[in-house]
Amino acid sequence: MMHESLLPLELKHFFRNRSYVGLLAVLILLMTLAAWKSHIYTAAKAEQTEVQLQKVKDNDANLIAQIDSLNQGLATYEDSYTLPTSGVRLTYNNHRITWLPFQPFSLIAIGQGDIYSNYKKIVLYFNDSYEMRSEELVSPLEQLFGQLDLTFVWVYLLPLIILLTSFNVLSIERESGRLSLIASQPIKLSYWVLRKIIFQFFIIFTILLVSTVALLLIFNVDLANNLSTLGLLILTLFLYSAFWFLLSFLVNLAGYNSGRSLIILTSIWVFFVFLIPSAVNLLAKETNPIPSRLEIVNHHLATYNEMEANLDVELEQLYQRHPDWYSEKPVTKDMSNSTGWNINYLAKQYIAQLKHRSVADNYELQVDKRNQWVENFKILSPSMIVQSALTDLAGTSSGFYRSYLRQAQQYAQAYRQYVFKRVFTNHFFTSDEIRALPVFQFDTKKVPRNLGMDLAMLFAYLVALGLFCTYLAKRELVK
Amino acid sequence: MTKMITDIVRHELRKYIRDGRSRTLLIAVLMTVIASLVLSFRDYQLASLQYKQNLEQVRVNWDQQSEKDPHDAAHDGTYVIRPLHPLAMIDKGIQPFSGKVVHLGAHQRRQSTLNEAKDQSGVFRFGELTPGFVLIYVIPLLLIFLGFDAFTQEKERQTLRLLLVQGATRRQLALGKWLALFIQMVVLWLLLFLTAIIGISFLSDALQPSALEVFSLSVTYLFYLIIFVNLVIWVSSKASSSGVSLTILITLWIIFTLIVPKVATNLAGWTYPFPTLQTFKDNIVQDQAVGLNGHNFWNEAAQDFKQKVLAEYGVETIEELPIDFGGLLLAEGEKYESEIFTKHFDLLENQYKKQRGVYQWCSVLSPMLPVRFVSMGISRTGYGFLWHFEDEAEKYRVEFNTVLNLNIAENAKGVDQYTAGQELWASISEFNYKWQQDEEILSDHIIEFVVLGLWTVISFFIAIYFSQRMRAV
Repeated sequence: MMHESLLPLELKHFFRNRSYVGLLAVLILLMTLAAWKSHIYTAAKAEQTEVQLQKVKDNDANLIAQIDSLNQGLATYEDSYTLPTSGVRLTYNNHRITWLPFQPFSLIAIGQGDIYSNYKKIVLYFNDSYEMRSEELVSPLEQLFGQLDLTFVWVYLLPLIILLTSFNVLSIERESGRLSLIASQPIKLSYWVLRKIIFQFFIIFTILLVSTVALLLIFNVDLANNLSTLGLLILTLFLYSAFWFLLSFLVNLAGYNSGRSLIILTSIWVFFVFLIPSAVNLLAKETNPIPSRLEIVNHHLATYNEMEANLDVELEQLYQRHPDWYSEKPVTKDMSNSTGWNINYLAKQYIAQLKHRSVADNYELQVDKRNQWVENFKILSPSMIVQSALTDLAGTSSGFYRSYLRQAQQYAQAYRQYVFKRVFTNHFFTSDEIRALPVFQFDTKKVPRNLGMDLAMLFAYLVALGLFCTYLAKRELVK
Repeated sequence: MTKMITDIVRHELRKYIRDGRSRTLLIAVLMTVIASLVLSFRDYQLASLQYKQNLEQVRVNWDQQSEKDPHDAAHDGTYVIRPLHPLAMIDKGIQPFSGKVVHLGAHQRRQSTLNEAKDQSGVFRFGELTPGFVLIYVIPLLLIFLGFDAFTQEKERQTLRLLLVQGATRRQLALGKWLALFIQMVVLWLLLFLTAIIGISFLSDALQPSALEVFSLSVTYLFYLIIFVNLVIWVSSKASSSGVSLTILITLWIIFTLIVPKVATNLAGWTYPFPTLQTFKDNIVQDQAVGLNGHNFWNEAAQDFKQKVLAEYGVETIEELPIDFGGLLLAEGEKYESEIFTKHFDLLENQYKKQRGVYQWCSVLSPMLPVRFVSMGISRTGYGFLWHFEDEAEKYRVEFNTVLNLNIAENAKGVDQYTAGQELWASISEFNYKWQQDEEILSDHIIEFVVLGLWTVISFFIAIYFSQRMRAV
């Protein structure tokens, strides 16, 4: 009852403070800008992917139409580069595409999306075994300074706004001489501070929640069909905000003056948001050294040279492994002919890739191991945990992109197996075979998810802080 | 007057040393500085070792190719590796986000590839603990924590009036407090740079930075830190209480180091966007379609070239030529294609320059931006360096392809399936990248220097001016 009667008073007190209102206005403004920017960014990337997908579809439709014309005797072709049924034509003109679909909550975090492209062309003639590659034209300056997205606002700025509005709940009373008046009330001082902090938490979190939901709706996020994701997002924001409020409560309880309280809280913020993550990054390199990717490139080049030096033996072994790829047709061995040259070229690429594969895979494993090491150490900072949780919800984490690229590689292997036995035997493709070419499907279930663990870690932080606060409050350390 | 200022400085420094808060903060930052130096030094050592080893291996791989058609060798290509400047130890700039190598093959100019950020988890986006990071984010925050109550504490304790009554003027007080904060900052700044330079000098086989580079880089950061000293003194003299002073200063720090750089980046990308990779490639293909292509004997441009060559040699048919026309066409096609690539990459670079203009305008709102650009420029870790490196690599690619293609022209005439061997591979000179001259780098950053200078001077005068008008209570 008492709480209900105090709420309007606290609201009035909060909104009378011009700096609090200003800070909240800045928060909402930055969230709006961030959501707008992410919306534009995501839409542009989705369009790029769509254009590529359409190109592949159009190209295939064109090829099928040409095969049909050829079969009906309506067209003739002079060479295998243009002959629609030829493997050479398929090799150089009809590429496949893999793509990472945007998740419903991609608006909340650009994440690693400015480093990776959301699509990747699969070409038969190009070796891509040593880099899980996906390219886009992006200024590295944009990547260095980072994109303004909701995750940035929440991870970096929200805690500061919480701290700036709550660091002096108690100290300001002392500095203005009102503390003795409060102390004369029949209420424990720690309880009084807690109540004030809870009111502030209630106000700020409500504003945060309403703005978040409003922005998600404005920018067409399908909330109705993704209520569980929305629930997880709200839970993450709730735990993170509560952590900073509780921290502020703890420092308030310690009874320092305003300046000292703010220094302590800001130092903790710098510690969690800057120092720990940046130190973990460098320590990860120290403790989990991995060779440079250049070594992988060099290994591939050396393998390629070795393979070329023993090409006859290597080709024999290849055909022993894949007897259905072998053909006696003279054209498949005639290097002066584009068919023979192409088969030879693809075979060399394939053999080198196969021989190099274990080294490339081992490298990726080491990268995963180091990233896992970093993942384990994110427990040291709630900011790292929340960033991980949000990018996970958005589907823009490293885990998502790496899983996608791995799936793309697996698809590329399957596609090569499907096509090579036909290309290598100079098989003439039918329109049905072109229609039946394997199509990539991204499987979200293969992405390693850590959201549950992230939320558990955040909760553990809250419990630990809560216990410490209770201890301090019981000891009545507030002087 | 000088004695009074000296007394104030001495008093302030004594106060800082005695104060447990300042001691703790200084020790914490000192440890951060040392950690950043040690970790960055080791990181740099490892990176330069990898660079050296891989550079040698790339060449070995090129030389050890088996016999093949020289144009096939051109298609397989080779790699050039981005070199590492020792000052990258201070500021890694865009390096983690830009590729380490450029593949040099036939018919194609490629961008740098293999970037480090792709091998990192999302935590990497929080930044790395490098000396540059400490200088840009941590030391300014330390200055704020040390000096936010320089005047407010005097006001709160009513000692300011006492000091004024004792004969100290507001200006002397401001200069004294400014100097006390400045001295602490300079100690950290000197420690950081001296240790870094000594560390680099111990790397006997590393390129040593020039005195001009070290001087301009360190002074740039010194100016940046002075700006924060000025702001601290100014805000502290204006604020009504220590809490208010600290809140304002932290807000300014957030605006300068976090918000403005991100807003500038988004603004630059929005006003001058890069084309998508597909559009970029489509434009190149469109331009190339009407010109020479080494593999297309039949288009108009190839026919014109054939007539030109025939006229040059005074013969009627290709068969009568003393050299292989295919090789000549490949060489000429490569030159033409490279011009197209240069045109489109120049357009892209121009777009980046326009984006940089946006950053320069936004420098008015944050001194961090000009400092970061100058720092990356001098450390050869900025976008300008990357463009220079890729342009040089492209020149080398054309030379490299020309040697291979002309070898075909000279030797393949009348030979069935001509191949060349290790003699030809070894005859191709290595890529020898020449760093941009210091003067060139510095003159490219004149605007940033001017803006930084203005920030320093104006903020100093504001600090002193407002301190002179501060109220005693």
